[in-house]
Amino acid sequence: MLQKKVCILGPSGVGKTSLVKQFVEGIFSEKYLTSIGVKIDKKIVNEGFTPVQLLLWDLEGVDKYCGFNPRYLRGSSAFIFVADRTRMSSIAETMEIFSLAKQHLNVPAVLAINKQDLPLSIKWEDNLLDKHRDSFDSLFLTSAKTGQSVEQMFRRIAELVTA
Amino acid sequence: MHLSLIQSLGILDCVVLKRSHDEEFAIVQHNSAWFTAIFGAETNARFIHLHDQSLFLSDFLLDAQDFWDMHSTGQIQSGVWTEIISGEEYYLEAIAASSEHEQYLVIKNVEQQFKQQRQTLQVARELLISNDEIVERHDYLNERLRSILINNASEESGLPLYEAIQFADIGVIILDEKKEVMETNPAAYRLFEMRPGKDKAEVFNILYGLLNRQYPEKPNLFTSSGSFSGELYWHQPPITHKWLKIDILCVESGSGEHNYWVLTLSDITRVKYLMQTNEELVLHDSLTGLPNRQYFWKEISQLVDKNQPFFILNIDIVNFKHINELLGYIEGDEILKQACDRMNSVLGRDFFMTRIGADEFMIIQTLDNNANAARPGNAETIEKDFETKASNLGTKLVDLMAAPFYSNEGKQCELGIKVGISQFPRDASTAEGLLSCADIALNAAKNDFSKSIKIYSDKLKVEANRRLKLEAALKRAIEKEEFALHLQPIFDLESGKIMKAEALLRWQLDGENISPDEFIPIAERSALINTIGRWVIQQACTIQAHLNSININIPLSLNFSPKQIHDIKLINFIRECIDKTKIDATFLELEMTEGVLVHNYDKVRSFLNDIKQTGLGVSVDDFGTGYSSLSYLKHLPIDSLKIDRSFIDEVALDEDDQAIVGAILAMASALKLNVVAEGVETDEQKSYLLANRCLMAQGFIFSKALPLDEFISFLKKQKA
Repeated sequence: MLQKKVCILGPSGVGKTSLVKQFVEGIFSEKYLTSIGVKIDKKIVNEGFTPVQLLLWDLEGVDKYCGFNPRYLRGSSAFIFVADRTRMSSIAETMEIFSLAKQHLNVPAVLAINKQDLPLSIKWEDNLLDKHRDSFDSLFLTSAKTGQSVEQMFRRIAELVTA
Repeated sequence: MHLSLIQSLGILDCVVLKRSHDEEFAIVQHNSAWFTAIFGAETNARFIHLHDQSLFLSDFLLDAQDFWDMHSTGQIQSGVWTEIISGEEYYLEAIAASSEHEQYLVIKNVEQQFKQQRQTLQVARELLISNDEIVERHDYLNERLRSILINNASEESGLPLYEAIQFADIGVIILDEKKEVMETNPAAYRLFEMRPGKDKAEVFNILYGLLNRQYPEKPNLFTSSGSFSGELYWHQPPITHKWLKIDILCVESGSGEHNYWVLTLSDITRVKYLMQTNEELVLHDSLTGLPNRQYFWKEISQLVDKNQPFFILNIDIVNFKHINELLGYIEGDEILKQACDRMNSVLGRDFFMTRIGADEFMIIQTLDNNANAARPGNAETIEKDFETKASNLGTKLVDLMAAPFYSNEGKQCELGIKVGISQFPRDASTAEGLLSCADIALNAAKNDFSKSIKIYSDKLKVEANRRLKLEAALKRAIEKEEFALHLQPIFDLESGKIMKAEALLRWQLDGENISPDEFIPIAERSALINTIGRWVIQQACTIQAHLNSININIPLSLNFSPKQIHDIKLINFIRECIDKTKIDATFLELEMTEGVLVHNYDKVRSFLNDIKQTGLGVSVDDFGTGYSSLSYLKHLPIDSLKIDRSFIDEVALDEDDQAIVGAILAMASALKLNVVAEGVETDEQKSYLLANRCLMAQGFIFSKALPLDEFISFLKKQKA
């Protein structure tokens, strides 16, 4: 079975672990539990193209308590960058992490704007996402809670790593 | 102590493996069920082959391999990872080590540390996210209200402002120029558990009381313009208590006729609760690890109670916001940490450094009472010594911070600091008073381009009061007709004819001529500059129309403040003035300093294109004193350069000045730009400039700036 490493990156609290949990186990927990270090999950995706086992490296969120560690990116076939739609600053932070990661490894990348189930207290600039869309292979508006676009996003990743 | 004993005492839960070759390891120490569960090694096994039992460990072994191949001593660590076996989670960390040609791999079960760390980080991150959300919502609403108020939408229909705040979940209070409450939204009432009533000022009155009691060092929140951010504690007996985040923003309407104060409020009790559940975070700043504002107040109050002499340095990092914009917040935070480390590196144990705001720090140094008593000299000498010590420390910090900083990506940036110093008990007898003195000194340093450090004195307080008085008077200067535009002629050096005139703003307050060097910076800081700038444009158009009516046709140039670039309706205003007075737009020119052109390049390019389309000329004022990058000359629509007077002063004698002036003239000629020499005061300067083909000049040798009627007489006399 073809195995491909995929790193999930982003600031803390955006829902990286929840997205993986929703995809691998189909469950979601309302309680926020911060991740520390690295946790690896596996899932086989075999619909419509070459079957592949995704090795999902869920990395601790980058923030003032945990810096960006490029060592974990080695051998990765794709990146998933996650931002939180309810915190506009998380977009800017994600873009900074994106630029740091791309300096080390230029592999396909998708952007997930997570927490689509939550209401917005701030209206985003209309073109904010458009500005960043072109930097990624795909952009998904996801909700780890409802499962919105989660399956599609990982299938897209499988497609990108087997292309 | 033997390793197995350490392990059996539960001090360290680890497995020690000695590398045989490649992925083969001898088991030196193994007594752990988890190792068997994850790696399949029996308790009595002597060797283990590590291949794909753990993806994370296999990846780390690549680094370990490189490390071992280098034959260096020491160790490298993998970082923490999680393994799940049969639904159970194991938290592990690996270490690759070398010792005397032997290579070891240690795998530790770090469950205890992991859980402790997660508990701390859980609180810290929840705090970070809650805080980010609150700050973001405040910033967003403030920006939205600012935009509505600047654009006067509220005056046209009242609706956008009403809508913007009516349904906001942040409390909003808007005050008019007289500090009377215009609007209080439902969320503001809810925060204080009140229902909207007839008296719109109810909530504001409570807030005002809280601000006065809890921020005694900031008595001028509603008298001087600018912004303020803080936290307030509100307690309503018997049980209600809340922590509130408050932002106060002074906004000038686009027309420049009104000032508004926007107060935004949020309940941050949860954030405070989170902080209290983590004691470390209550008194320390999470980014830098330094003591925070609360800790600072505790410390300074104790010193005052003990009547122990000390001084405080109030430090502000200049333009740090710009660094964040340039490098992003993650890198910005990194630079801030470096700045703290750098400052900390020169402080001894008797210093107490705190972070009291985003880019504000306080340093306290105590002096030993007994040591002072034993020293010869009177109290005045001791105070002087004290002052020298504080000043020396300030200078050391300023010098230290002047060296460049580098981001993780290797980008270079420069930070400067401004320092205000006050001393206990000389300057004040209370903590609040002392802080207020340090604040006055810091503001004086910020206002002085040539000095980075100011020590509090009564003179500074008088100056601060004068600035406040001038700021208040500036607001009324236009309606009281205290401003006047004087015209300084610009001459053709060959023909001696007046070619242009520069319009210079003059202000007379109660018979005193206030220098523009004094009032323009005050206007720029308070956003009054937009009102004044518009008055200058309107007045210049009127003067131009009057000159045209008496057959005088010479271009007028006007000074343009860097702050005016943010006046989004300025271009329309200029067009309206030109249309109204029916003057030829090509007879007006805007003078901008290099700083405006470089700092706001995109905004300026668009603005200047509009200006050029309207027909006005553009010149660069004080040329040569600003920036080394000259590429803007090529890309921006500029017509002329004005050589700064500092190069003209000694141009007849100083070879360096001659070289600079020569280079500017040559460059301007190549770029087909006109050149005006400023500050010409002697015949020698005039002759030198003429000989070197500088064709236009202004200065006292020709004429000072004149009131309009005198300028017209001067012009007529010259024609005659």
